Amino acid sequence: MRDTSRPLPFARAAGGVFDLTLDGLVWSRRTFWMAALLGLPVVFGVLYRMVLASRLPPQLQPFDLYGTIVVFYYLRNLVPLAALFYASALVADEVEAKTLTYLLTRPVTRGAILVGKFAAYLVTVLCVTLPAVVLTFFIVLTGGGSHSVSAAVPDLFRDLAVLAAGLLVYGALFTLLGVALRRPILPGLLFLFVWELLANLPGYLPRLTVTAYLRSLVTHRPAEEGIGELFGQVLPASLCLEMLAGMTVVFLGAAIWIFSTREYVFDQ
Amino acid sequence: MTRSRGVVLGAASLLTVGAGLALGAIYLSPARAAVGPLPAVGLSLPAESRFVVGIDVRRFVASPLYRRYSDKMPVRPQAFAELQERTGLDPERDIDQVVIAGQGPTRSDQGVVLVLGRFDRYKLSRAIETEKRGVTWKDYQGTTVYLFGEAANRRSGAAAFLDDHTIVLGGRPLVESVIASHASGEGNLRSNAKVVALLEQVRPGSTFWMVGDQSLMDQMPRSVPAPGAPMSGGPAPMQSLQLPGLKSMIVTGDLDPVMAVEATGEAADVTAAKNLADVVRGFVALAALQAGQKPELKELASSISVSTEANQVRVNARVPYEVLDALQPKPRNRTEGAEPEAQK
Amino acid sequence: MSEAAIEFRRASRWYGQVIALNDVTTTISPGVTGLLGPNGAGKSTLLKLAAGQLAPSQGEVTILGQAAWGSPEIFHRVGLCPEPDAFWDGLTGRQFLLALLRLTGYDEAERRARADQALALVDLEDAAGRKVGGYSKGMRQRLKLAQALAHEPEVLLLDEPLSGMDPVSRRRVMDLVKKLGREGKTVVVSSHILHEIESMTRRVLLIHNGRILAAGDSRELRDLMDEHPHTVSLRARDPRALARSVVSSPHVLSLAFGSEGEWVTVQTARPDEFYSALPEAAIEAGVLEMYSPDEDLESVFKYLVAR
Repeated sequence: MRDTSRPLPFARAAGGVFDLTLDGLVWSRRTFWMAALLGLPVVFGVLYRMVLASRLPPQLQPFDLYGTIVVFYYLRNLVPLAALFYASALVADEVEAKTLTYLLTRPVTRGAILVGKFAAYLVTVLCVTLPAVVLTFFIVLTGGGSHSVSAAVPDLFRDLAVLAAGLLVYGALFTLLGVALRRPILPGLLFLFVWELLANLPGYLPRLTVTAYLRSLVTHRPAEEGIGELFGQVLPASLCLEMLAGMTVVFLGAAIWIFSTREYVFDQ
Repeated sequence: MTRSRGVVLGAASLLTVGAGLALGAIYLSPARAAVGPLPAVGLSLPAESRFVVGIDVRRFVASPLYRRYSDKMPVRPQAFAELQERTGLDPERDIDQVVIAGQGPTRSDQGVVLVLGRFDRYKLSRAIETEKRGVTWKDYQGTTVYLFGEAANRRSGAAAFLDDHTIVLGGRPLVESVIASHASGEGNLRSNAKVVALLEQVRPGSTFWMVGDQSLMDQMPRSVPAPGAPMSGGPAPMQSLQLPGLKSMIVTGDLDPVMAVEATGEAADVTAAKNLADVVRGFVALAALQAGQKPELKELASSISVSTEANQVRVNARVPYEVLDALQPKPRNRTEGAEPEAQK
Repeated sequence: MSEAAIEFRRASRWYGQVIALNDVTTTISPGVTGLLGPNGAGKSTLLKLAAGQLAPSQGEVTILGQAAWGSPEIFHRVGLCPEPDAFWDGLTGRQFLLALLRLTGYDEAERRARADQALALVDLEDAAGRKVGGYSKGMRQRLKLAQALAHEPEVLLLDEPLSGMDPVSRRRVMDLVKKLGREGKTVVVSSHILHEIESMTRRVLLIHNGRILAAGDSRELRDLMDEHPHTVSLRARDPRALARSVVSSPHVLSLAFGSEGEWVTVQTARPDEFYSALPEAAIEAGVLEMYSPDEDLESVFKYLVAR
């Protein structure tokens, strides 16, 4: 029996929105292109094993190569960009398509709508990202023998967890941008490619970024030139986890608050 | 089930299969998780270790430093050629890492060395057995231990193959301890929480690194000679400077493209850290003042930076190889009476 | 009088300098109420305020005794058929309804039953398994109506529900709306076409420039309109025969031929009687096309406002 005096229970409402949003996200063109980009290292891994392995200098071990891919390709670039292009559009897509009205005229709280959509985003990007990392791991590291694989397995799990954390916290941040701003892409790009550079500076400045915490959690430290090499800090793991969790809660909470108080008007 | 859920399930399945394969790889080829830059086998080092040093030999050999100065190094290339001929081992090619652990400069007999790489175990063993005089060997927990020096007593030096990729060298008791730890899979060094905590803070990927805990720091000299002659009419300088004690030290370094070293010391408190930083800055400034006699010292001094964060002191040096070259002693002109080129 | 389902108490809504709704006080009781006004009059704003999609800048709007804004629980008992033609095109008609019924709190069995019922009501059973992206405009409009009806709300807010529908569908929807009104539901239908509203109800709210111009029986409005000459333009194969058959009618005020010869423009003081007499004349003269610029309320409002 429905209780018509209250909105639907939060989890039930979010679950319904989750299923509805998941359909739209998984089968979108955006996901197709994201999957292609996130899967590029798999292709590179195959190329490496077939052609490049014998030609690269012996100092470049398979594990180093895998670490470089995880840090430079996934952690610093694709994961934040995937979060930006998906999460900032969670509400904006519904607004543009004028379908948001259907959700706003159901007995569900706005918070449940946003959380359901966020969960669908997270599941979608995790499904596209993590298997690609696992495939890359096996393709690249089996080149060094089974010993090389087994020694690196803890790093694989750690990397998967850190990438998932990155998708979570960047997703929360860009969800907030998406509900707060009409055009969140440019500010999002500025954040990623300008603000996050603070992570390369000395002192406390890196703690104002997201990437500094994520970088500290992975064990890979590929060589890099410039100020990153000079001042790169490794922050304590407990601090990183606390800060990432805190940021996720704050960003998502702010996004829910803004979404709950905003009016959405659609004219034909 | 909707198609979307099917896709999610498929991805989750792939992930699960991957995780399963990964765990299976561990089961089939057990690898203990490494700590920081320390390879997994390094966890078999003695728990009493006060310091651990690691050298990435591959990176070292590929570095400009090695390329520039290898002919001046104490070990002659000729020796490498002979070694390779007898044992099949080319140190420049076959050795990946060297890890050294010990209890301090005053306890030189309490150190052990791990050499990781690719070895022709048979050839190497035969070379030791047949060509090294005074070598004996015995079996210890299924591993052959080679004993050097006085016949089979506890003061012998020892060497053993932990596996096809790892050789352990050192005093006999420590080598046996490492063998036992490796065989049991328990990882002695894990019980040394202080050293493990320091190792976790080291950047993997460094060409060389070192961590030392407080008991090592306590063994280091606490005072250094005071620099400078007394100024005329001024008071006599202190004979030595007292350095604040350190609780731990981490040093990492890279050799490409410049020689970069970072040393992080943990002082007792913020004040001690600031004092130590001031002392180091003072020495750097003194070096710069010597620029009148050696201009390259000024460049060296300017490549060193000192900073503090809470109770940590960080000294960072990035020295271009040109500066190092300039600091090398110039070879003497042996021909008497010959004038230097510049004066002609 | 039945208890009011929707109440506006000195409600205003503005966007910056533009006042979309200006100090409106009115109540809407169970039954069908037509909301009439030209484009830009404030009909959509009034409906959105009632549906809790907008907050009033001033005053109060309540629906079923609760503040409309910020009360998502009212949507257990309120259904909105929005104006924009917007769907998740990748879903089938049935999937669309099932997803929204899930968000209304029904379990799976009941969702299926209600979805089937709603689809039958709007005559979309055969197309229910097809993707919405392949529907015609009329089908999409009916589907919008279905999602508003599926949970049997007490209050239905329909924003231009007949837009894009073919004549048969329009008739069905009008009959449905009347039936819902008879059942005691509160139905608010907005349109800019008077005779559409008249086919569903006699209770109308006239809105213009954000104010309620008139509220009451549509006959009174019709009487007002009847004082305003009604222009009808017709294209016929034999325009002269058409002119001959209508000119003798007492309620035809004037008649003129169009510049291209096929058109005849008639002014009449009694549009209802004119339309009643038209079919016979149309058959004789072969009428091909007909339109009336006065059929929407723009000109009527101009006339009423001028009065």
